[in-house]
Amino acid sequence: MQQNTAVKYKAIVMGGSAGSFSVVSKILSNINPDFKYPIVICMHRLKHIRSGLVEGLRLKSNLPVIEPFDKENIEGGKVYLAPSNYHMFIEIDATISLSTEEVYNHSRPSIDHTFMSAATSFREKMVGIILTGANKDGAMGMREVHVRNGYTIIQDPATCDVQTMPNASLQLFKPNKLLSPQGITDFLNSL
Amino acid sequence: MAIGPTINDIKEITAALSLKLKLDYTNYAFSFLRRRLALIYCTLKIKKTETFLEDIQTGKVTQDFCYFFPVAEDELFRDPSFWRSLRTKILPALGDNLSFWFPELVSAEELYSLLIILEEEKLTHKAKIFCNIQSCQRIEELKQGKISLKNIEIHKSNFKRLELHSKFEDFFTEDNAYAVIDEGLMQNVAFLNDNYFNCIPNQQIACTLFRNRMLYYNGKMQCQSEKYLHQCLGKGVFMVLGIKEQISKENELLFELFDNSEQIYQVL
Repeated sequence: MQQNTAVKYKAIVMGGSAGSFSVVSKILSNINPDFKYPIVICMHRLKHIRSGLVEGLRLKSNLPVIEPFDKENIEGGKVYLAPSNYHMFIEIDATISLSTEEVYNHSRPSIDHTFMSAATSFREKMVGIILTGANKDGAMGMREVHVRNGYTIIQDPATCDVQTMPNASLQLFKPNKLLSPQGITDFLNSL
Repeated sequence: MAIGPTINDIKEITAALSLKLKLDYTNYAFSFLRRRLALIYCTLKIKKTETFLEDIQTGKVTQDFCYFFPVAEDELFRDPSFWRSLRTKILPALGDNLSFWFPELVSAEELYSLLIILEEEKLTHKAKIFCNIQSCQRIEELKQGKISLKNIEIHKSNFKRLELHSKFEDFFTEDNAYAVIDEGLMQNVAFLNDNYFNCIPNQQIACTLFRNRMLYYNGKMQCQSEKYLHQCLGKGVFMVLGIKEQISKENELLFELFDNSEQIYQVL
């Protein structure tokens, strides 16, 4: 496990439901301002509300938070938030591609889609983190990250408002770490 | 049991499709091709890639492919603020030329949204709408004027956000599991049964609706498409992209941004 943290990552990919906003805010407000990896976040959100979430995260975050356009490059030290009503995929050339394909797991954006594509593109050179949430979206994607030897972190269900999402992942594989929000922040700051 | 295509399968399939349908499928975004072809393998119960390739060459599956491959829009008035902009900013700027073009229409929702806005503004009789659609089955469905009631609450919620004078029920009647649009709204719609690289409208267009279509292209094909559309459209013609799309850096001198938040451009 220690070996994993020594390799260079291409991205940190995080997923959670709408209720994970406070956890994501906490992590981004305590992350080192010189954090060098890109952070890609897929959070369930209201379909028809285009603004508010990214502005809210910008207020808290030590890193710039971007709601990316299609085909935008992923760069280190920036946070990329999946736009409302679009799925967000990570391509092999480290660009973002968006899609209006069918709703998946009752969600668009779907966390599974983001994790699956990131796992395919980055394989062992990514960290996948699943946070608190009220449905199973993200569990299959996190399993794919695990299968492709990415580093996996599940928010400790004991620290979650709703445990469905982390528990669904725990039923599919054993993660590298089970951490509280503060533990996740400390881990990221140690990279 | 259906299988999914491998990387080599995808290369062979897209090459065969490009030849057969005269559109460069090799330059769709690769991850999209992988997902979409996997869906087609599953839907059409394809068991062998060799058989699928033969069926493409003979034309046996091309209509099915044209039906299932493009991503259908599933909301009427997706991004209501765009449709408000169309009504309050674009329509007043068009003058007498009310000709619209959907270079790659897939589903009814996008077309019917435009038709309702035109009817609200009492412009239906003056407008002409051209729609390129590769699937014959899609064209027949669109002509029937039906949309599924599955997403009716989303449709109505988006409609409410438009703050029109009319009611949703003024445009649709319910028929079993469908809402059927008033057929009078369809009077000036023309369907072109080919892709937009091979067939374009036979009159000057004033506004092109191309929302969320280039998401599925790779960068090379997006550039080609933008250049081609720039050539087809005259100076000042509106071109609308999805709210999370942008004209590529390579072609940014060909278009001028008209509305930044809705990604509405005008040809330079």
